[in-house]
Amino acid sequence: MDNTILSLKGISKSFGGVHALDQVDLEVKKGQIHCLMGENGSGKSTLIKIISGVYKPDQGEILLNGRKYESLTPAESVKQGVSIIYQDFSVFPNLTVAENIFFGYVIAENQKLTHNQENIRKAQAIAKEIGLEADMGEILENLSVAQKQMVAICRALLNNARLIIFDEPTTALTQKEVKRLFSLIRDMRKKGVSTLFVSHKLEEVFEIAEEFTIIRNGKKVITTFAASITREKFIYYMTGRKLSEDQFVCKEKTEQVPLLEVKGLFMEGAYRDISFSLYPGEILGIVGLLGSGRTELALSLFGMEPAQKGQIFKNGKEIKLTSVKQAMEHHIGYVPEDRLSEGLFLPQSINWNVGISNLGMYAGRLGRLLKDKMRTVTQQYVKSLSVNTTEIDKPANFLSGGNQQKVVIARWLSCNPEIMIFNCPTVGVDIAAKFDIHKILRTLAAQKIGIIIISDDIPEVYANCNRILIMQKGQIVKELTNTETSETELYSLIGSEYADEKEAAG
Amino acid sequence: MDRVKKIYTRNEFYTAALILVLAVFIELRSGLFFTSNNILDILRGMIVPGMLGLSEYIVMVSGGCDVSFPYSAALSMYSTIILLKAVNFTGNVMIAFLLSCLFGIVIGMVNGLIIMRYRFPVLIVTLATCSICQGILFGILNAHEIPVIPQPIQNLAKSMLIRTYSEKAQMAGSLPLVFLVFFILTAAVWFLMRRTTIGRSIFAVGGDVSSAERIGIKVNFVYMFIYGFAGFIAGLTGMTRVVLMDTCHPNTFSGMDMTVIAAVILGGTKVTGGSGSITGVMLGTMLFVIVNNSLQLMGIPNYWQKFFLGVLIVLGTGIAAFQVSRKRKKGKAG
Repeated sequence: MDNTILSLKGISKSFGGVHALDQVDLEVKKGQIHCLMGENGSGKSTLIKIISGVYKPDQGEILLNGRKYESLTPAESVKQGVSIIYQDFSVFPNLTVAENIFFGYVIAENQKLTHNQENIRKAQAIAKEIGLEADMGEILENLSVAQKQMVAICRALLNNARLIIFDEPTTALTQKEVKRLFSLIRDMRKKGVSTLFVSHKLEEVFEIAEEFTIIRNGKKVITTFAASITREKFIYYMTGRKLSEDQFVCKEKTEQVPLLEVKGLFMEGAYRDISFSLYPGEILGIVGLLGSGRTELALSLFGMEPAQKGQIFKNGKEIKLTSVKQAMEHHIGYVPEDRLSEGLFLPQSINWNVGISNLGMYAGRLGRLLKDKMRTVTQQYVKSLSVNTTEIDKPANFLSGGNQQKVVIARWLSCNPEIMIFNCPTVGVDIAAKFDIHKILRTLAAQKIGIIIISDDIPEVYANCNRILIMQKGQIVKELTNTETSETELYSLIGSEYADEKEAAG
Repeated sequence: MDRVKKIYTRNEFYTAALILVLAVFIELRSGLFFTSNNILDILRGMIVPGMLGLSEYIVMVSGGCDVSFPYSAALSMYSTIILLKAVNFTGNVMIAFLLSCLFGIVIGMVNGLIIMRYRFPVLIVTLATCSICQGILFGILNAHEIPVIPQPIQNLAKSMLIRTYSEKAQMAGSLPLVFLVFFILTAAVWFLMRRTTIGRSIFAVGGDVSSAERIGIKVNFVYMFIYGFAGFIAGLTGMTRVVLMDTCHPNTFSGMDMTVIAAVILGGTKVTGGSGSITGVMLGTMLFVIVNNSLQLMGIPNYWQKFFLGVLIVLGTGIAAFQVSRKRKKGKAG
């Protein structure tokens, strides 16, 4: 087994009686790009922590560089060439680029003085090797997200990493940056550095991984090559369910007065000449890459960052959306992109999170809060949206991503919206919950609520929107119905480089 | 071009500009600012707040805010003096400094142990320590002013580094020898924070504690070091104060915590931790000393000085907050 750098056999780990991992095997060969796939709660982060030495397995053995271990320590793991790049990169925003690169090395070598020329030269050499263009003396927080990630990679390489583990590396990157990262990973492979890639994004896996392993509920489901799997099989392995969805068809006729009509919306530096209509029962998709202006447009339609010029009409009457309060008065609801920081009050209970936007509905005499009424309403939504919880008094941060998203949706539903705007509705949500949320959207549309989805998730928009607007650099460049286009065409229309890869993957 | 632009965005620049404006203004009003005795006055005035500022700087960079130094310094110095008086000390004055520093380190380690072990908020822990020191000083030691201090210290108090005479002001000026303590400490702290691993680790911890742990920094040791060293500086400053005033008064540092913290913040050190410069600390301290000392030159009454100090504090934190909000707006695009 000389060409294997890491081999896990029969790894099991429990936390307080709960099996996080159950007899998991994993093998990464030298110079291979291997992808570890699993939903939230599948055990993939536990597995990573065992490889990096943070956790010790209850059972099983680890073979690293040909040596057998029952468990690792963080120091030993790094010494054997394993480096993890966490989602937050574990960098110091207040230190310089050079320091971020060589600090780990300084600690490992027990150096007392840091600013010697030797260290800086080493850092510079590695940065040049992987193509990081940044001033070594620059403070890290001034760099872009992609550059910060490169700095983290430089640090790993300086520590002589033979296996680099990436934990969800592409979450905060633009398409271009993802491409650069992938080409860097391929370059590193040529130098014999193996990569273990943790992800749940199907498109990327197909593009970069040679081999991948899927785990579910702590058990390894399958290890296979990218070429021999289809999307449906993949979803089945990840979730254990056969999930599929047909394309959404709008049942309402569209000759009525539009529910929402915008004309000539303009915001400096964000978007211009935005005009479209939304009819009841429709799901309208607005797609564009990061920087296309789609987020600003979403915020403007909710009054958070009002448009500077242009007109907005609701049911034929002109309205002003210059504040969130006005938007809510016009029965417009908005589910934000980042539910953790913009949507939920994480330490507060599910009950409060649902009821907070419509407290007036629960006001009794003298403004007293009718707590029972609020609980009843919350329970109804928890049931109708299938939020996986038994306790509505539990804090919201105990829920999984998909359930958290459902709570945010429930909050807006309790305000009786006529229009709902969803900004990236299923980002960071498990596949099964994703399908659930799509079903919810379709149910809402059937209730004649007008829905706008703003997203860059092409497959989601393609399946769930009957009409799609393409945004590029602040303008709407095309309008299509979902039946007259294809996912490939959509990718190329938004300016994505995924179009070719999608063709190849089928 | 980028380097030049960066200077304008830094707090230190505005503080330096403010100092210049004030200096010119006072010079125009009284003609007595740029005189040798006034400059030396300012330098002397910077010794104690400057040293305390260095200690506060180190703590702030790590993400904390220390308010224990007024009475930890007082307790260190007072304990040393009564000890030396009890033995009728006539030896080397360095011993006095050494003792005071030792007392300071012990008090500092108390802070360090609690913060390291329990990771309580620094403000709360040091508030408690300050109270306890006060209690020991006035409750147990029954502290009062000691006007006659041991002879070696008196001798040092009379030793001058520089003596001048200003024709313009018709006044003599002098800079005490003990200024060297301040000078050497500043150089040492600069070297520590900029060039040594432990110093950069303090920045790392202030930037992101969990990342620091992940790359192998012994965070517990760093915390012990920070508060031990801060205690050392407090003890050192206590004795320095005795030399400067030629007397030992237990309440001499009362109320200084706020002005020192304000000076450090004005100099660009972020309260949230992770960033700040020695230059900034010195500039911030200089600004406060000028406001305190030199406004007197213009005959501006005491309470106006407090008013200006308050305005400066708002300005200092205002500049920092303004920069943060500008950065946030830039980051929102996309």
